Amino acid sequence: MNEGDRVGDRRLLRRELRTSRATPAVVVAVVLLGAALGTAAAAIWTTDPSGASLVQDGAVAVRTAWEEPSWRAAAAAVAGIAGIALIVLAIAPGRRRRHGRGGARVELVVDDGLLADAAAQAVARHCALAASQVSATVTARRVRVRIRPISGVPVDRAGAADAARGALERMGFGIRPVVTVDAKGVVA
Amino acid sequence: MSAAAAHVAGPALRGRTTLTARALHRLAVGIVASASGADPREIALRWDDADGGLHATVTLPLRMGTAAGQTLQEQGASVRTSLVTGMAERAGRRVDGVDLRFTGVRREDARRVR
Amino acid sequence: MSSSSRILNRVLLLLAGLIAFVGALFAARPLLPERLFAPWWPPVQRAIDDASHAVSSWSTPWAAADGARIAAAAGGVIAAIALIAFLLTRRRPRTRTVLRFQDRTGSTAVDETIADAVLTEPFRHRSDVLSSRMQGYRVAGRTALRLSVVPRSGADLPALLAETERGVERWDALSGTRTPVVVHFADRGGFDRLRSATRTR
Repeated sequence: MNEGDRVGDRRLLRRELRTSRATPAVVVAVVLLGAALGTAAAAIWTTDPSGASLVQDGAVAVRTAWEEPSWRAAAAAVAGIAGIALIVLAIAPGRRRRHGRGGARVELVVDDGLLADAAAQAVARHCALAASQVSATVTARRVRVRIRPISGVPVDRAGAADAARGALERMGFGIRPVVTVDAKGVVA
Repeated sequence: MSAAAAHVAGPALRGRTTLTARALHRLAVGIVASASGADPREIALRWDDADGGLHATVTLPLRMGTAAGQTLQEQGASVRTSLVTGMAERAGRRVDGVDLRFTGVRREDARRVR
Repeated sequence: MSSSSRILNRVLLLLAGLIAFVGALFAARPLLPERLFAPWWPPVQRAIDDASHAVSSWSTPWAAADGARIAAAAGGVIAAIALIAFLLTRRRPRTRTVLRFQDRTGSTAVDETIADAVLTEPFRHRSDVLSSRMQGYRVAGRTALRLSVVPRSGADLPALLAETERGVERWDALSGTRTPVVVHFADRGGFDRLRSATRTR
């Protein structure tokens, strides 16, 4: 694989692992479009005296509301919250709930839920427990396994951790396991 | 094929071979079908004039399992060549260009199910 | 979506957020303690006043419009055009043609349905796959393929991966090139949410 392919791999993976923020951007664009067209329309209408009255009534209403402190506070609060939310959306990385890795021929992307399933299955098999007694969650860098033991039967934590890690390594992902065992067990 | 009757061998005879547009179409579809192994009913073909020459735009399904080892490029080139040669031999028409498109796949077992 | 397209999305969100936030500050000015605004507000206020005076002095001979209205109408129209252009470019860059070979006598094109058939064929009859789908898209000037597979719960993922690699090998032989391929093993229900693997088998 030459250098050009490598760079392409990274770009392919990045595309799959981060949200594009397209939906919020489109929503914002539509809202702004409405505002822009409304402003232009209002400005053009008021040049013609007959159409002016409706817009002027509206303008008067807005102006009186502008003087009212409670209205201003409400408007400011809404705008402030929306503004902060949009800025956060713009800046936050937006990691999607999946893991990706390059490979010899294909780039592999697996949803975190499937990785969790695989880890939980492997742990349940290793510890000879029912599937309902093992639950797993995959986050950005960890796989958190939670075991509800059988009362009276000790749980091999190290073995469980190895099983979880191994299941994910078989797919080519190196994710560190964290195993917690519930204090309360199931009686048989 | 009706158009085969228009093929003349030996010394050239005077006169013109006139083919209706429909005959031209059917001839071409037949050539493509036999070259590609596809069903004639699934071949879409359009003739255009390109600066005095004939230009074909063809859409046809791919037959899986044929010519194992031949790449798509080779299969496409072979069908295009067959069409150009066939039109020259049978209709005396010079084809300047063929744009071919493989779309959809014809499964071998699908015919048996029908 | 290309990376510059994605950046544009975020830029728009940032701009809108800043406008909203600044608008909020502006609206709340008389309600908030003066100390917050004292250091930097007066020059900003002056700039705004100068701008509005400059705009008001414009006028057109053929309409009884003052400069503010002209500015509002022009600004609105320009912004609307820019936003419409932005919205029109939000289409996902799908391609129906995944391969194209051109030479003197014409061209041979391959539709994505062919790649779909070749790549999803190993999964069509497997009981451990709920659905599979292939889409072509353009990235960095090249055509890439994304194969999405939704496995049944409890499926053996490494085995499915081996199957996809076999399908890709067949495609490579058929296409004569190595098209970039992304294999996506997706969760059921079409959502990315975290799910715990608690289920009865």
